[in-house]
Amino acid sequence: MSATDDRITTLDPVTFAVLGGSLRALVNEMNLTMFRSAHSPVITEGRDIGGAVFDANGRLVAQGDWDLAVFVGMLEFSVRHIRERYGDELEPGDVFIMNDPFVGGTHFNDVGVVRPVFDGEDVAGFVGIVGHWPDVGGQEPGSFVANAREHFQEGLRIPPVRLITAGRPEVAVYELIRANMRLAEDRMADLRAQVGAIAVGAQRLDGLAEKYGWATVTEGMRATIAHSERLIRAEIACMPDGVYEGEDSIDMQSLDHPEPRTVRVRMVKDGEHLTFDFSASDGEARSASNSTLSATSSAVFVTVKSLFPAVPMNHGCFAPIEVVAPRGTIVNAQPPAAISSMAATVYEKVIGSCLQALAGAVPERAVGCPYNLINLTIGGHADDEDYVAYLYSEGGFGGRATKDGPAGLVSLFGGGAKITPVEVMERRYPLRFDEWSLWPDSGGPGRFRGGIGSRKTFRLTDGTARLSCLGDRERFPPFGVFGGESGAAHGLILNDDDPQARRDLTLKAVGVELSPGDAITILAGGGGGYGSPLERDAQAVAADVRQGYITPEHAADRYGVVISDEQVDEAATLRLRGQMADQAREARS
Amino acid sequence: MNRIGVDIGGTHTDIVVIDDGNVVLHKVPSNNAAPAEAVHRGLAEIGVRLGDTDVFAHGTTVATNAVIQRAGAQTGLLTTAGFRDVLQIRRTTRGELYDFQWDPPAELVPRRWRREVDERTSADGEVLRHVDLESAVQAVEALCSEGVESVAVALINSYRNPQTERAVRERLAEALPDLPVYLSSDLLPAWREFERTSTAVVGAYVGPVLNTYLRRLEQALVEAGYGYDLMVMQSNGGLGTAASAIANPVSTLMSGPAAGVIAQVAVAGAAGITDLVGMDVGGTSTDVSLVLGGMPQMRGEYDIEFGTVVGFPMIDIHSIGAGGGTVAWLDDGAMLHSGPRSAGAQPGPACYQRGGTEPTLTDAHVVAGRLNPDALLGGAMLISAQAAAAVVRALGDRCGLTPEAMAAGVITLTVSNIAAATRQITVERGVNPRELTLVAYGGGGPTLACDVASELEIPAVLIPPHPGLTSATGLLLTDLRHDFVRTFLRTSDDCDATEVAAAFAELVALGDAELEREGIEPGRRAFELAADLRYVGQTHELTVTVGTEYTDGTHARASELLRVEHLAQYGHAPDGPQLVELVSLRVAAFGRMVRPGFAPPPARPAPVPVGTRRLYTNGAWHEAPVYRRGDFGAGAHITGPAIVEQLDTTTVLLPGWSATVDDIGSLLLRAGQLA
Repeated sequence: MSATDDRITTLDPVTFAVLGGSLRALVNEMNLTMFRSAHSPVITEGRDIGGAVFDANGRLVAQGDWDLAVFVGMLEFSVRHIRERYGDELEPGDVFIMNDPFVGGTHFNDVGVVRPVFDGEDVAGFVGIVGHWPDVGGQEPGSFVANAREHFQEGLRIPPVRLITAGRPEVAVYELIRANMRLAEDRMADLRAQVGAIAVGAQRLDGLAEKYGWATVTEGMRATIAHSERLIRAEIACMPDGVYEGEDSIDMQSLDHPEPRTVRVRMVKDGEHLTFDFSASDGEARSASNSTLSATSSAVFVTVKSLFPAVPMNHGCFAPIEVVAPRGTIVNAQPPAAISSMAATVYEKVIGSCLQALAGAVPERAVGCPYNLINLTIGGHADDEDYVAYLYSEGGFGGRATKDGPAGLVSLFGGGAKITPVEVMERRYPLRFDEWSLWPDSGGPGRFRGGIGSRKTFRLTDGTARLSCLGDRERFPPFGVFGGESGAAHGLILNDDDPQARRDLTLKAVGVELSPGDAITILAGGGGGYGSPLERDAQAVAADVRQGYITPEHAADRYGVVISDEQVDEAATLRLRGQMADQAREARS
Repeated sequence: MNRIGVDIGGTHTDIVVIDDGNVVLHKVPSNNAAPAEAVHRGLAEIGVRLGDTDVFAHGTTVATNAVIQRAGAQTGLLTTAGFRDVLQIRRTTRGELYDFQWDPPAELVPRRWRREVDERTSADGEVLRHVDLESAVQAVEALCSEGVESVAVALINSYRNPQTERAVRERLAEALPDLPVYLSSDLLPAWREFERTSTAVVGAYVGPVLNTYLRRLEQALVEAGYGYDLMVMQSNGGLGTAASAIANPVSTLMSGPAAGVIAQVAVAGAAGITDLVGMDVGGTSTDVSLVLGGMPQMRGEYDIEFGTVVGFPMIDIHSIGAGGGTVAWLDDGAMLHSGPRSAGAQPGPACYQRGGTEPTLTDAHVVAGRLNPDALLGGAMLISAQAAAAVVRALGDRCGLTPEAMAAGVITLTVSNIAAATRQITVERGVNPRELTLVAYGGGGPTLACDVASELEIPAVLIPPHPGLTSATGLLLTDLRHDFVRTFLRTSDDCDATEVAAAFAELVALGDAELEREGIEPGRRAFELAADLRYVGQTHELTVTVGTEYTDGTHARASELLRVEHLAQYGHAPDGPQLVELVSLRVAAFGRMVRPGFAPPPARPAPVPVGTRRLYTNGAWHEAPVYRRGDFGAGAHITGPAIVEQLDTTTVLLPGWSATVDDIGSLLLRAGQLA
């Protein structure tokens, strides 16, 4: 069958290709406008934003080249909600603001603005952009409260409301937001940048319509989605039909409720369709470790998409995928459940459980589990000024079917985010770093090793501060696949170098008081391994020792490779690997 | 005396000689094993003697190629204890958002060769722990015993106080006098440890390669009778001596493209045009750049590849994968794409008949009648129009398009990609492309110029006299330039104008000394001051031009200067006076060179077409007269559709456009009322 027989659009292929490129370029222009003019370092340096363009039904058509993955889920749910809730009332020049995870979002810190674009009287599409605000009020500076019982502790919840009506700012809404957040002036500046960015997006979309006509632009949007859908269906069709299962657990709900909670997925592959059924998952956590339907869906989409990178990201990727998540489970929490820990806990476990299920279906594309996002917030006072400092941690990704996992990268959730440099942190905040490096032996052993994680230690140099953290995988580290072993357990430790003052804070720490001189060590593990470490090429193990990625002890313990003078001791390795293989057989039988 | 500009690329060595206002252009195949040999051969062919030369200016891709091909020196890195992996962790970004198979490129220094020294400087520049110099020497000796040939030193907060890095270098110079050592605080004295470290590492990695290359070339020139410094084009658009290029090797990374921008500024300036967008279309990529008020827009940072970043003031050139060899293809979902894959020089487009089997932009040009169907390069290279038609037809069959419509479609898609890149650099700076002139050069630029201009609604296009030799020409049209920067990090209410002026004066003194070393007499030295400012609370700074001196008045207006720039760049700025931080101070030191004027083209009668060719555009075939560029005298005027052929390019004048030859031989294209 030639391509002419199964055209997905009435547009000629050239116009279609040109429109597709123009829509992506439009989002990039919005993003550039945004992160060059916002105030928050987490946006300007961290690039913690995501822009997108949607069709008239609120379906994602294109996103930018650097956007945070999770926002994809959030925006689409929110835009569809606005479409349904405000339908006929929408006017040119309207701008909506929202951060409500129960409608379509992640956590309250991710604040979106959306603007409809019109073809005469009719809505023809939407442009939107989400940015991570460093604080949205609530109990703790930074608005992350791992042990929160209700979302009221986590800051201001903004359901989709008009921020601007037909070009007129809703002063009351601005005032309400301003009155409920720390460092409100900075937030107003970020909001200005967001509104400016979607104005650029709307202008460019109008420009495309002027040039091609709305009928063509609308058809281009539809066909862009259809194109991705066709590609992803073809990929799914190649998987063997069947039922695949996976499960992954969070370490504990919170320090007050230290029992784990489990995400369980049953993936049914039928023809060109995938269903991810989370019905067997545990109920809502009595803490902030919950996910909402939109965030859970986003985690599923991002995982599937990452196995099939060639398919352009838009609604078409989601179309053949169904997510079943009963209300009241940990993957579809309902108000007033707290959710601020979502990204660092349940989101990652949705990814983990899906990766396990998918490993059975597509072993050649499978990967060991990636490390778990860690997000640390320090709210403090020094030199007569309040500050809120953010610190993400990078870690390792899982080993793959043909190669080791990559080291020291931002999490899957984090997408295109850039870490804030040490020198910027030290300049802006009373912090000083002792170490920020890769963490030897943290990559999951395997035939193909998991990527190395990171270890960083910093001290408070002045004033007082409270530290809160979001993280996980202290009890259940990033798992390996097909006999690969786990990456290192993550952790958060106070004064690790002083036995008297040392405390295991855990990654669920909330409001820990810090004094000058206190040292905080963050351990972000590596990814899980792929295949048995006993099958790893001994020369590759020796090379890892020479580069300092693993220690000689780890080489012997986990890989059965004896290193002497940085070289493989062939005879001793043969003996040790034989013993370890025997032990493994005995353990199995 | 004559002046020579030589741009050595991977395929061709371009030579421009200016002798008493006469310009001689020449192009010879490069000799990658012995680059100087191609230069000598080329000069001999046009009878130019180096003994009569007082300026030999050179554009080179040696440094960039060394990085991309991983052919640099075996390099080691010294870091502050605890920060060995800054180079590898980078900014933690992933190059692909959704791809578990993605990997970052390998670091230029493997982890084993990244050694730590126990020392620490605070963010205020206070030395908290002094370095043990002997341990640094031992670490480097250990590296050298493993084959390390060059070392970078990048310590935390050295932008604030470089004394520890300098102490390490001094001690290393005593212990290991032959070892090249590059300091991060020399190459990029600015905060953000990854970018500074990466810059120092790139410097150490390419420095020895550049050193060997430039010394050999200089030696060859001297032996041939050249009696002055070898001058090298820098990415900032100015010339430096070979010695200064070796001292800061990252200065040469965009050497060739920067020369092209300089030439476009000069050529446009001769036509009275100062606001323009430049489009350099080559074989595998297109470079776009923006010039406002006669000044190329600059950037401070450049990614040679993902995760290999250098900081250096350089002309902001945005490169995309769209050139003559760029391949058009259909994906599994039947969507048409152009690039970024390229057939390159080998096998090249199908019409070259060197084994290329995929349709490229050049093949599309041939099918659409834009390029000569028989031969390119003024007849020097035979091509096959049948081969081009076959691959374009095959693609068209799959798209349901005739060969000519398919060819036009490939051109349209390429034009759209170039226009998107152009829009990005203009939108980023709040400029409307419609108010600019498009300057099109490179071998492929003039062929697409009218299309790109139409897409961007740009009404005027300038085609330089020798579009394919623009970079080499630019080498002879610029000044010496050296950039100096120092981090200042003071708020405007926390310092006075005298302090700022004193800090600027230190930088001016550095520039003065450098120009003195290069033999530039005081009357030809000039200094331009600029400051990187930001509002307190922001992390991104904007570079604001200060002028030639920093006064009380400047100090008082700091907030206003930033406001104006902020408004221009972002379209909004905070209301009322705001506290401003002076992040960095910058001085550009210029050694003014005598610039040759452009000779007017000889007077000629109105040009007569040498033939006609069928040109497919706007969905129809047009009979287009074909002219030879050499037949055009000043003031000549033609209307589209028309094709103008010359050795180094083909200009396509679309229906509705007209072209006039200006006083220096450039073609000025204008869009008419009707398309």
